[in-house]
This record gives sequence, C-alpha cells and structure tokens, in this order.
Amino acid sequence: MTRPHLRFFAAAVLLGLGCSVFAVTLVRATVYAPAEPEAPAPKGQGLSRTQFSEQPARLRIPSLGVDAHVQDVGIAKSGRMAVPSNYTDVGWYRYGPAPGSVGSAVLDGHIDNGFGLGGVFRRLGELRPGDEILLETAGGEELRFVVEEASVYEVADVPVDRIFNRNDAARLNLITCEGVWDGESRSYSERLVVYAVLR
Amino acid sequence: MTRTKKFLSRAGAAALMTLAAPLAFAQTTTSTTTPGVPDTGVGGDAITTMAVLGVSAIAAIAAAMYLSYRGALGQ
Repeated sequence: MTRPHLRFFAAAVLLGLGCSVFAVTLVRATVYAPAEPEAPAPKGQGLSRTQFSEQPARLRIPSLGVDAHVQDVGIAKSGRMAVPSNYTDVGWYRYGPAPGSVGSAVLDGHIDNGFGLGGVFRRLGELRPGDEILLETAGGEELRFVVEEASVYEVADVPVDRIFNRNDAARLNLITCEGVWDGESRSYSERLVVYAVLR
Repeated sequence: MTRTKKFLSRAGAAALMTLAAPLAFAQTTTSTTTPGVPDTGVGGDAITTMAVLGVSAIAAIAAAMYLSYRGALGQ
C-alpha cells in the first residue's frame, strides 16, 4: 500500500470512528442512561408476584409538572436498585410490593442527564408534606399518595430498610440523587428520599 | 451412661440446627431482596461528555476535510 493510500485509509477510519463516538456519546448523554446489567431475580421473587393490572404505569406529580412513564426495574449486578433506561422515565422496584398494597413501593428516577440538564426527578426536592403524588396502574386505577416527609442522606447512611421494608401502611417512596459529584465513585454524595402514604 | 449423654447432646445440637435453619434462610432472603441505593445521576460527567464530543467531532471533521481535499484533487 502506497503512502497516499495509507493516508486515505487512515482518514476514512478516523471519520468513521469520530462519527461513531460522537453519536454514541450524544445518545448516552441525552436519551439512553448508562445502566449496569441486572442480576437474576432473587429466589422466590419475581414480577409474577404482582398482577399486571396492579403494576404502576404512569407517575404524576402535579406540583412539579412531572408526568412520567414507569418502567419496572430489579437489582443491578452491584446489588444496587437498578435505574430506568432513560432520563425521562421512572423505575419501579419490581421485587417489592405493588403501589397501593401494604408495604413500601419504591420508585427511582434520574436527577440529571449526561449534560447535567434536568432529569425526571430534577425538582423532587421541592416536594413538601401534603403534596400530592398520583400513580396510575396498568389496570387504569389512579392511586393518590400524599407526601409525609422528604429527607436527604449521605449515601452511606441511607436507611434502605426503612425505604424498602416498612410494612405499616401502603407507602410510596421516591428516590433520586442529591449532593455533590464524586469523581472517584462517579456518583453523587447524597440521596433524596420522599416518603408518601396512600390516602 | 456416657453413650446416653453423647446421644442426648448430639440430638440436642441437631434439634437446634433444625430450629435455626428457617431463621438463617430468612436472614439470607432479606439481605438479597433489599437492594442498595440506586445511582440516579450522571451529570457530574458533563465536562468529560462534552470533551469526548468535541474531540470526536474535530477528528471526524478533519478526516472529512482531508478526504474531500483528496477527492477535489482527484487523487
């Protein structure tokens, strides 16, 4: 191969590579959120525990202007609750109870996208006790929850048992990131949790 | 007498293990079904994201300009 041909070939490869990296980075930053692969379902657990009609389909928070599609998510391989595959949907923890049943149904959502622009739960911290959260099930039923409390925790201090295992009422807990970005762990330093109860 | 004592102590240990088994299982189940906190933010990587976009765009544009220049020369 002569030198001009080599340069032509290198330029063509660079063009293809540059376009591919640009497109993939842009899509990951704005459309598809980077997500760890999910671990297999824990023994005895699974989506089949919840009837399809009881599964949440849409989340509305009128005071924040949120109207989001609900995906069902499980546990990531790292052991963390998995996250929705984009920045505009929310994720319902499918191994927990269905919203409206006694127990703690948990939804998570992104606070921002790859450009630092607002995700679905960008304004979650503005919720105050008494605010309304509406959840529509796949069967068309609308459940009305009322915010009881909003708390911010350091990542190491997040009370996961309180968030996932409180069984004294039909609860809905929303969780998102908060705090400052830690470049080493590539994560935010805190989590914001909004606790709501069925009315 | 000694044999009877041994038998009783073994039977006692076996009974304890049988009683403790469901408890151990319950603990395992709880720990596997309660997940850790989710990672719901990626905005801190915005500068890296923009840098990657910029470098890849410059590389693609430079390569495209070179190819069009070569095409214009008919080489």
